[in-house]
Amino acid sequence: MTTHSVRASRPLLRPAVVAALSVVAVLAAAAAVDPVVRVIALLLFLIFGPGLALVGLLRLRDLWRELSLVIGVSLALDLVVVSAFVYGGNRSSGTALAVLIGIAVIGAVGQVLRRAPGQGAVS
Amino acid sequence: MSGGTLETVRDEELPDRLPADHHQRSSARDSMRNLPVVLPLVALVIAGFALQDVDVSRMTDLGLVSVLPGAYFVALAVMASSFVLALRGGERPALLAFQMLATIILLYGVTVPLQDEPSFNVVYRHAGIVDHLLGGGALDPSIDAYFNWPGFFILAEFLVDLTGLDSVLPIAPYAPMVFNLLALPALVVIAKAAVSDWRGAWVGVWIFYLTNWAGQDYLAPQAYAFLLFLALAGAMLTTLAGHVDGPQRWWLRFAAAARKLIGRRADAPTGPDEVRPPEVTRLERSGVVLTCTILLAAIVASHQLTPFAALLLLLTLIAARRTTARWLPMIAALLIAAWLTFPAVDYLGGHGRELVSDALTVGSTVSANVGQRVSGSDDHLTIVFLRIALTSVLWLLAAYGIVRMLRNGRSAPSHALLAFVPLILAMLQPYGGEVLIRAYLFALPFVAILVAWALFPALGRAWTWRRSVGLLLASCVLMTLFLFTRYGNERAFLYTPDEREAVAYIYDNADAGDVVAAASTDVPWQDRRYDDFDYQLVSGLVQPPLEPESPRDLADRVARALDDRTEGASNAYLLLTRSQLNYEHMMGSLPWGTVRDLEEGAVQSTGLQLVYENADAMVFEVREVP
Repeated sequence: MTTHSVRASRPLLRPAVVAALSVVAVLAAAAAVDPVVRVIALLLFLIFGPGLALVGLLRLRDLWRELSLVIGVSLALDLVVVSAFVYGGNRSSGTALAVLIGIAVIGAVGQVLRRAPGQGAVS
Repeated sequence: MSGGTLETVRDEELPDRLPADHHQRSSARDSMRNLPVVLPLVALVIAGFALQDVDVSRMTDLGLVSVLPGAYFVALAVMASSFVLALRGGERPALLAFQMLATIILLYGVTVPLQDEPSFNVVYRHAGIVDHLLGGGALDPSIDAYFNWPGFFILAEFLVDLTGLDSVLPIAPYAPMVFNLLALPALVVIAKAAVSDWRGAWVGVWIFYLTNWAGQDYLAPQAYAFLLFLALAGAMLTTLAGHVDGPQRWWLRFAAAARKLIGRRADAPTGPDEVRPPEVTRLERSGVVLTCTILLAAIVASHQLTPFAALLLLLTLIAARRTTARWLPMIAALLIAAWLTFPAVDYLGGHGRELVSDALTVGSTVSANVGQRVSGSDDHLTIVFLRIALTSVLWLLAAYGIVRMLRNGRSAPSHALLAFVPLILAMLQPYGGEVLIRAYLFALPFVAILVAWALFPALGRAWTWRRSVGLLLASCVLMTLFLFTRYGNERAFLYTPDEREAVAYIYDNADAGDVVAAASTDVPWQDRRYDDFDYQLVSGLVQPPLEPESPRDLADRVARALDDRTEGASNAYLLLTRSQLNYEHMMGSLPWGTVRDLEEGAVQSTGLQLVYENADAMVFEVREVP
């Protein structure tokens, strides 16, 4: 399955998904929602969010390859960021989540800016 | 004349009949196309109803399969039929992914509705480490080995803290399903890097899920690290793959000669085809090298063994000249060395000599991984032999798959190597008697695709009903074997609320520093107050008796040992549970005696006082030691 056509027709799909996952994660962490919903929402962000934002920048041509790296990179980045905070003496989960969301948003913005010429953005 | 009449009749009927036939055929084709969408749902519904009436208390030492109703096996057959039907026509990736999702729920979620409490004792220990961190406990490497590779636990604590749960245990039963589902994309990438036909690749992925009996996908660091290992392998076999020219080293000449010899014997065409790595841009390549570095960093921080499996994978591909990422093994080695030098230096200091002395002791590895496991009740031995047989047959089929690929003018040299290279890990360390299981797991993604080729070569060329039936039968056999091999220990690892209440009694009544002991490892404990108590096993407290002793003498001996352990400064508790008895029945008694005798003697002993009892557990406190 190639992602060329999808990417060309919907260049903002990935950044939009990253943004949606980030918003859902913030709401789930901050609002008083059912614990099951909260677990699912946060897991969705932690499993896909950071990876989708960063791997999306590479413009891989195969969806399975992209998805494989998205999941791997997301889980790895989650661990690296959270561990860095813990080893650094800061055990605030909220701060670590904010950093992960920040990474995801930066990646998503990068994808928007890297849209192909002619699509109304910087190449 | 008659022929002409017939032709005339046909010609006359054609305008009316052809659209009808065409319509019928088209409708039948549509039904066939839609069946793989409906059948997994049917299978899940059947399984859901079938599992409602399961009575786990009637389980024998054969494990879960001894109590599963016939309807559950019908559900598996429906699922296998669905997958086979999904292979007809062109590739429909979403549909095939849906088949895998339903299969994962059926096979890896089967115990979820049967668990009153999360299964498997180690899950509770892991929950205890998360609880320790959640309570602000220190990341103290001297506590135990887990605290030398705490990455996964830090991540789990982060999730539990964010979600507001009071423990990681409520999500633990779903971990095998989630981990296996998340592995799917990487497994597809690995499979498609070996074979160009999509059917062969998906059958390989299917075989992986039907043969992953190792059970390392529970809530554990190795499950997390294995996911990253798969992503790394996928990247190495695609984006970073490539045939690199260089001096002909002796092992390359040897490998080429072996391939030629096998190929000649198998009447293979000269110069077999390989799946070509994708064309990648410089940006993509650099980005993937960076992501692999992040993957390696997370693997190194989260698990003891997986970094070495990853390093082995990288070195194998470098030695075989199948990757362009020459620096990655160096990066991996540096990360491992840095981790062992700083965060895990305590562990290395305490166990370094032991690790070195265990290295390359193949005899002790075989003994710990195979010999010591071949014990227990007749039913349990059946399970053990099934595991050994299935694993051996799969590896043999993988070897045959390599030959068959060559015979068909194909080859997947990287997969052929990676299917056997993890066995080197078994030569390096016994790893507490588990290294062969882990080696099997690391090899399985590559073994599975070769097994697919051994059983069903060149699926892309012809997909016949005969092959469909063959795959259906093979799938049904593998699914049944999966239930035996994966869930063969469930009798001991499914816990009851009564057992957990006994553990809760100890949590509520024991003080920090108290000794808490059990007769075997099979206890759902340590999920709270991980570092508060001195958790002990009877095997670590008493020696085997020099001469036969009565149950009461055994209990007195254990009471004295517990009292000695407290050094008069704290209390000591002994916890005996239904699961410990089941475990002993299944695995055989321990050198110091039996749980049954200890239970009988503890009731009579003056050194132990029964302080809590329910249908499935007893808690004794050490009092007047004789």
